[in-house]
Amino acid sequence: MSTVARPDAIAIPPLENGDRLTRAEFERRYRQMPGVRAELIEGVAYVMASPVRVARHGEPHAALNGLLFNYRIATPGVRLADNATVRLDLENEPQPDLLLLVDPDRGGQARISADDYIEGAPELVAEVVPSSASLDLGDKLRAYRRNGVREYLVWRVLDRAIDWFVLRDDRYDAMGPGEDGLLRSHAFPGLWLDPEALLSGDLPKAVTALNRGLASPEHAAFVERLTPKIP
Amino acid sequence: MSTVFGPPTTPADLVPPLENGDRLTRAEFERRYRAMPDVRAELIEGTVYVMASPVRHTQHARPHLRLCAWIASYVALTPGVDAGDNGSVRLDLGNEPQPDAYLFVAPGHGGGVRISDDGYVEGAPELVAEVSSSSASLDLGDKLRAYRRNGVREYLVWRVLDRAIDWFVLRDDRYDAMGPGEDGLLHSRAFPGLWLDAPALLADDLAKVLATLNRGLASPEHAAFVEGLRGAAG
Repeated sequence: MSTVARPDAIAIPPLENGDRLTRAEFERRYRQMPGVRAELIEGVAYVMASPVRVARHGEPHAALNGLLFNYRIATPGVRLADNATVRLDLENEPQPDLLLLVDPDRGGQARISADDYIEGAPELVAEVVPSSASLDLGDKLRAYRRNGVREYLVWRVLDRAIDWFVLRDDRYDAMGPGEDGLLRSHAFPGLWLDPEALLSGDLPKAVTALNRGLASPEHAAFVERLTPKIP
Repeated sequence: MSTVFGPPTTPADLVPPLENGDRLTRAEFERRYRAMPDVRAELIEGTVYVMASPVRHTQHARPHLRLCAWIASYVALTPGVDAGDNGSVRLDLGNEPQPDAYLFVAPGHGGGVRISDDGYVEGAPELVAEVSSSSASLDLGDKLRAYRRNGVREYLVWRVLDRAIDWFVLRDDRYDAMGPGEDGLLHSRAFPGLWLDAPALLADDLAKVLATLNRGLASPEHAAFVEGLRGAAG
């Protein structure tokens, strides 16, 4: 007679890929696994345990971050976060690479919870992914759309392409570039992106395009709109 | 002017790595999987699940070994059946799981499984067994659906944290959970004589599990099954 296994010594089950969980149960399991990054998408857990490549992820992520950070500096009333957990709905808790939101105190659509998590849909989410086969363009896209993320930017690194989806009549339409080749955010006026410059790694050119957006009248009007009025 | 983002241009690096949640065909899944020899991955209903985690002894490795010992003992005394541990199974064009264990009637003896020229299991083994954490697992979600739809006749799931064993039997296109017989044992339909003392297995009493199996292997229905397999080969 051998010993009796005691698997119940582990009180909280570890997160595993493909687990079907409620958000509350997902958070309970996630909290006890500080070394991993995990997302709950349409009720399914995805654990990201892989190392992260530099040219395929770290650098494009940093480039986008830099542009969005410059936009945030020039635009009081918007907030930028990198890899923050978003309590989107009861079956979705993604951790987008980047997100931009209008401060809830300035009329933004998301809230910040008492325990410091984003609740609801940020106005803009950005993800860096390998290709169109990614989860980010499947169930995650659907979850963002259904919850009202107004703009969803996806950099498909191996495809050498940038998608910028805009919520219109409950659908995501891919934004086409203007005559000058630039993509212009609707939710964040003045957030102008030069996709060709980004895809070719010409960061100075990408910064130049953004700076033109930040000098535009629509950006000034947006900043004015976000400024609290003194009664 | 700075670097161009993206992959290096060496051909080997142009194969995108498998990532959790990728939606792929089986052919593309296999292409990417081959380029990543160090990971274990499954394609379930067209979605990729990469198992990069270390494996716990108590929660997985130990029950896995017990299960395989039970199945291997059955194979040893049942000529005409075959079994594997952690082999890729080409179930259909959107599913390529790697079950913890599988048992099948050998090709040439009337079974439904083929072994491909490149050495993989193709089709649905008659019995598949998985060691899972709990009922929340993928094994009891999309993977169960894929096994059922493809005609895996019996599906055994050991939910370790729940301290429970489910043995599903395909009946009228559904999986019914098998209840224990009057003797308290579970009896396979697809593999006569494959008897399981589930409480003993849950209590890690491997000696009792194997003693029970030996009774099944000595039963008349097992002898008849072996005889039938021999006939199918002839």
